[in-house]
Amino acid sequence: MPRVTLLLVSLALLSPAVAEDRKRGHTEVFKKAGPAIVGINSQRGRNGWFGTGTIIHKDGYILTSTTVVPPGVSKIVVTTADGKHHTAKLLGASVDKEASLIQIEGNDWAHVDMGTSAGVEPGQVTYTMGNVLNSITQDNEVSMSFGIVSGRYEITEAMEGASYKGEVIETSAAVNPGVDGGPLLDADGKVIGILSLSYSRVRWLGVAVPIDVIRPYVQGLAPEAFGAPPARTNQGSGPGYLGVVAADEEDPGTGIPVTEVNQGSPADRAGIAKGDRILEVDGKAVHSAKELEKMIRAMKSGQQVRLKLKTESGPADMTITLDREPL
Amino acid sequence: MNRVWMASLVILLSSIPARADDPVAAARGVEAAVERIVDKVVPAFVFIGGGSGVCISEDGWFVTNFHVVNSPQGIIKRWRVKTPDGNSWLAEVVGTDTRGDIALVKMKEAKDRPHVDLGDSDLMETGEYVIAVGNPFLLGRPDCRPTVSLGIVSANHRCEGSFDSPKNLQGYLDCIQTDAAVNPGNSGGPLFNMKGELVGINGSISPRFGNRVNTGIGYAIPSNQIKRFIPTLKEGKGNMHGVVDGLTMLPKESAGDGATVGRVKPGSDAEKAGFEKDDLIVEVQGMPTPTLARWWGVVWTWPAGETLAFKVKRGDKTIDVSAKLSPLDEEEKAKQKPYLGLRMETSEDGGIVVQGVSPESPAAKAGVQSGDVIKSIDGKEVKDAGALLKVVGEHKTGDKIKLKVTREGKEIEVEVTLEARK
Amino acid sequence: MHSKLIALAVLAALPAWAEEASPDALAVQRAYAEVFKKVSPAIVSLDIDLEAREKPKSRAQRLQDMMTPAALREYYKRPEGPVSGVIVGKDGYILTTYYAVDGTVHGIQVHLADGRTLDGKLLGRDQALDLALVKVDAKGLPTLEPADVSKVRVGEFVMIVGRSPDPERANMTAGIVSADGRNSNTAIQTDAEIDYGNIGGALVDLDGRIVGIAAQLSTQEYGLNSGVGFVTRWDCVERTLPDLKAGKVVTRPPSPFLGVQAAEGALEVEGAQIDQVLPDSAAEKAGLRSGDVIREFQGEKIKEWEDLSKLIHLCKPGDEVKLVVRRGDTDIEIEAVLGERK
Repeated sequence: MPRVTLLLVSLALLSPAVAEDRKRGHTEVFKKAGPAIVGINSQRGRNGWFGTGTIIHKDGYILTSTTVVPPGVSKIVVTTADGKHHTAKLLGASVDKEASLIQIEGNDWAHVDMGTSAGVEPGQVTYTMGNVLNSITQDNEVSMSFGIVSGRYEITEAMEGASYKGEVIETSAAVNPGVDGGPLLDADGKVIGILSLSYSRVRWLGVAVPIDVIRPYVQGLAPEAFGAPPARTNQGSGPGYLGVVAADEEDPGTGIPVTEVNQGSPADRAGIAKGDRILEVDGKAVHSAKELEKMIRAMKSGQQVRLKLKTESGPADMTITLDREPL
Repeated sequence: MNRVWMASLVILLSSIPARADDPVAAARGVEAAVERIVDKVVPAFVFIGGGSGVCISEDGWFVTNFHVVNSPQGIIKRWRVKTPDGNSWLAEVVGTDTRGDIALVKMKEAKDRPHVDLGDSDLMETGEYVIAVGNPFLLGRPDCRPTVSLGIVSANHRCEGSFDSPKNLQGYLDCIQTDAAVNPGNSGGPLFNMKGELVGINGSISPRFGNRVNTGIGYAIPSNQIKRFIPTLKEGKGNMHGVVDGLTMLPKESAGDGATVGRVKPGSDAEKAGFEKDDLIVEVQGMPTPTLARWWGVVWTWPAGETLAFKVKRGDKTIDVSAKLSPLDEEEKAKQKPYLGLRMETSEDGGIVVQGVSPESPAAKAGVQSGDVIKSIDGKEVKDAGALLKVVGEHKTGDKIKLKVTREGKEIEVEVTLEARK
Repeated sequence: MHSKLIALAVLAALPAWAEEASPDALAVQRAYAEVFKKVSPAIVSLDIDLEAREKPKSRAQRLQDMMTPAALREYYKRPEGPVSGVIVGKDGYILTTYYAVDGTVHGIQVHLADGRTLDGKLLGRDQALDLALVKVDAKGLPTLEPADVSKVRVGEFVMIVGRSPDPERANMTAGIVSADGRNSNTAIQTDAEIDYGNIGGALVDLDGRIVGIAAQLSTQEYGLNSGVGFVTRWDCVERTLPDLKAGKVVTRPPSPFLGVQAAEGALEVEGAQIDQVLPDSAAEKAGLRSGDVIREFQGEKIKEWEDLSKLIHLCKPGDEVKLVVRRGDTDIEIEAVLGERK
């Protein structure tokens, strides 16, 4: 009889293990992560962009790329996998990192977590998911492709409207227009990168900006949700620097015009252009160039400032991280 | 007792699939399953022209894409096709769904042919493995070895076509998107699930870099659609897609809750069925239709003549409506259109150069030759092929038209009696 | 009592039998990652200082180039940079592709996985198999175990490991064996992605054994990463290695070319119907026309297109050939001088 017991006990022990194994197939990863993938359409004046985003927090924070939500867009519509539309607000857009963070209303959203890109090596299973050729916005279908991490290397020339230059994670999973801004997921359904339409002229395969590059930026924008970003070594307690030259006008009723934008400055990276008018800084109306300068210098480098502008394609709200004054 | 104990242990342990601590064995498990399906389904493959097909019955009925059997000169009806066992067969195209891009072909004098069953394409889940068998770049031609590729279902019920107006319905309005490698030459070929059932016919790709090779997006016509059209295809009738006569849908951007009725024509089938303006159609034949694309997708997969069940939201009520699909107009008209049977190119110095003449076509019977330069039709000068075809289109089958052509320096007049495409 | 035990065991095992292979994503990836670790030490990167051989372009090709958008021309042009190679002999023998050395080689630098850079000397090469052998001065280099290529099955899981553009980091793509017996039985076809970054690299199985060398990349025909790619079979490689070590250079003889495109479909009259005669070709010069049906080639009857194709391939460029062609209602004799396939 003990032999029978042994057999029955081993049966009982083995079955859950077998069942667990079966839960980690591709269809299971899709069931887990699919609800967190959204389609995004954004507009600025007469220009429009479309692509994918990933809900990375139950409070509706959505991570996407600047090729889907560029800096200074006025209208962002998110289509969730159930087909419903939601208006989103832009929390920040970093052209350097090709990453944008937006947010929709609600606090109970299905989401996936950011993983780490540090130890990611070729051979690892990976998935791309998103709004491929409008699969979400037109057909209500999150599109998925399965591949492996196929390499890691430096991209020195950004292609196809992308802007990120640096180390990328390459994947053999399909990357096509509309999936940019979407996630590169690992076998656990965690985000290890954000997809870009850039590519290497040697490989011509899909690439993603590693999540470790983007995470500090996201944390900086929403520390209450994602934890504080690691201390940045190039931040001191110096006064803030925006990088615009503004002019005074006789009638300052409609803000002040920008006459020059310094190349590579926070303003430049955020997309502020010559001719734009700065109306408000952190909710306070600006009346003169000197006032603007005083306001910015009163802040610290690394601090975020909310600007209200009037651009040639309409009003724009921007959240910009100030730098240190370049020497 | 010992032997029984050992036997049951052996049975138990040998059947548990490899667990996570032996990754290569786990991968080999999937690999073995793929190899088994390949052995089972490849014999049903058909090499036809510049594409692929798959045999679905013992006596040699097979399916391919309409565009594989079509040509600029019209549908090619009789084919010599090959199978992986090295045999060649005369085959005849019996029925074509030109808009749905499916052709049903019959191998002559075929029996006991390896074939596959049509599975339920609606059950295909995103992430499921699928296997494509085809003849990309005609690599399989010399020795009858087709190409096999493995991928997953990227999305089901995708709409790859256009539906901006009922007059302009084209493409695959309901299809399976896959990342299995499919390339030119895979057209008309099968997409299988891991049970070896036919779940789609590969027909188009959406390449990323502007050349015609796969970059991870392939579209397959779903087996459920094909199943429903087979009876009409066997009868040899032309296109059979349909619409609800008199029903105009609003092309507005959907809020994800349904497809809105824009207009109901008085006295039409739609009105008689009970549709009303502003109705929100949420389900068709039991399938949810949250967007206009999905509405067209579901309607598209049913042949004209079928009565479909619709679920409609009107105010705070939910109503059931049923309506019959009437055939799309255009197809009927297209069948009587006269044709010439020429492949033409517009030359630099104005003039239409004949590149090819279809055998037994009206042009061939009239003696038009390749190399001829067409200068005028019925006395009207024509500068490009489009203009010429427009004039032909204004004629009826049976009409005689006069072409003035230049042949080796001399001007000749050729009289062509127009016929309809067969 | 015993039968109840057996029944219990069978019942417990039933779900395993009944269910299709459901991929355990985590296990599969560990398999790939293990293969990667095992294989990448034998994969090298080569910097070849090459003066590429001038290949004159035909008028048709130059016209096509002009019509290709700039971005696509980049796609078709080999980029600058290192190519991948595989260590095939622990005493410093490395295989890469013939294409990578097609011309005048002024120097080769080989980057090994262990970080060393060594000078490479070009030995033999074979154009048909697209292989070139390079020798470095080293001993005890890691090599790969050979797979039994005769046992390769369609559907088998395979991976390609290369080492470009970053010589310090190997890359990998994965797929299945799509077909065997390609290119006169010298190649295996795979849907694992092949591009400039892994051409010359190794195709291996789940045990990390080498099945072939990724070769014969033809971007104009099959594109990059299209899922249609070829590897030169390892058994062909093994047979050729002694010649390559001895420095033998085998160029592919030019292929004969008539210049006609096949019309599709079954015919009333048996033969190979011409759909198009290509400009500047032997067929055009001989007076063949679209619609002609070739019924005899050098006295041999032609039943279908494949027959004509096989017979043409037995000839050489420059051969004078006699054809019997049906045009309209009559059979006519046409003589052609075969050209060369570019």
